[in-house]
Amino acid sequence: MQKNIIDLLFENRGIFISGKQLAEIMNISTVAVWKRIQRLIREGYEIEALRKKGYRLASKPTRLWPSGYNIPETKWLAKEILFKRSVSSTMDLAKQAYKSGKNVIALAREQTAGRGRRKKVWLSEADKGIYMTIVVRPDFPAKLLGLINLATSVVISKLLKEHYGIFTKIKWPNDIFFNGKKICGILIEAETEGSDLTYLAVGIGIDLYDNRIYGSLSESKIYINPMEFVSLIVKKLDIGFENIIIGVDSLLSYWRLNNNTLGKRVAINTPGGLVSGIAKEIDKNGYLIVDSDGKFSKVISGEVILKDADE
Amino acid sequence: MNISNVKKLIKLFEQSNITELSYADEEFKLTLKYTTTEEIPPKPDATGKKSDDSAKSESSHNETESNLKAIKSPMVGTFYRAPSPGAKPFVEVGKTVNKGDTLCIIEAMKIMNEIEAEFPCMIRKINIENAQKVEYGTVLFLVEPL
Repeated sequence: MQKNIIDLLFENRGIFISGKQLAEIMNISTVAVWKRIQRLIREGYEIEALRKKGYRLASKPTRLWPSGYNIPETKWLAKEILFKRSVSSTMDLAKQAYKSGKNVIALAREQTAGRGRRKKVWLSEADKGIYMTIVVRPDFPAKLLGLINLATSVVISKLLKEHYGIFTKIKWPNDIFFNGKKICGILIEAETEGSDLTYLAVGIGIDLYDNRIYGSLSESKIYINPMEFVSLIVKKLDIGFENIIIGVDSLLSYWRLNNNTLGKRVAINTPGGLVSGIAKEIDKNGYLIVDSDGKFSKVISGEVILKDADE
Repeated sequence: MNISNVKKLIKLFEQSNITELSYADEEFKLTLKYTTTEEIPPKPDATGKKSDDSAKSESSHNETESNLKAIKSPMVGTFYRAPSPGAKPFVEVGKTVNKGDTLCIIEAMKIMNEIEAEFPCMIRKINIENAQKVEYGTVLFLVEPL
């Protein structure tokens, strides 16, 4: 992984590093270092620059700051950022914008009423995570709607692994766990009229602590630049959406290899009643097959409770 | 009629387009009837007699005036009448809604899909209980277009 200046400053928080040192590590000129530092300051990072001493990251760079965002070329996902310091929920912000004719990626540093499934509260304190809602073009095939959640969790899990070396596991269908703790939740809101989609939005909440994935403090010193992470999510998720259409096999096989649910004892509250047993498999729709002493049930919705010790 | 003939009859019935078939002789009576959740076109000479109440959508058709329209589920999932547990339902019987108003939510794979009215209408019947499983094509509401 190529280190950038913010990584280096982050690893040396509280200590001054000279421009010359940075230039040597990065293999660029001191003028180029200075230019990059200026850009980071414009993006909102509080970097102290002292003559003869060098540069120091003054405060925890936990903030989302959209000016650092590289707009990826997308087919399915919105391109335009709508950023607010504080909102009730990015889901609401995205929907309002949509109703006034704009497809946006809604971002906020804080949500005062962040929500999950069935309006469960999702704690979204200022600068303690990435809170975003991405609007998707509604001509996405409605019959593939059921796979969006699974695909989104696969994209984020894979991204954390490949770009940051953080190995996560997915709980059916879409919660992402790291070291036994949920670090990412996904909420999809859609609207249909007849068999046509009229609105589709993917909400993603990722807990960050001190710009690292929560729970990775001891294992990982990897600094996550929020806006860089957001750009990557948008870019990879757009490809993920295309993959749902082309063929779900690779998505499903990643899911199968990186989950904490299959083979475990589970209890799920479904509309048909409580289903408990061993989670056996997911089918091509992503539905969970549960074996209750030889009686197999197909679970389409419900909250999975893992009965065994933490995973 | 022996059992293999009954089997043949069932097979023929399944392959045909008819929705109801009755057969009777001195000692035997057989009625085959489709009770899927798919909409069965009402027949002009419908008797109104009900043999049982096995299919909700069918029983509702018998009391349906021809101007009512069915709103069906676009997906397999769980039917919710309200945005969150304990909240007020989106619609009640007798309520009029505009095009685009939310009627209910169908959830599958943690995707919350709001079902919207395709045209202005009045809710005449709610066919499904809250938090019940629905199939693709299950009739959720009967509405009167306005």
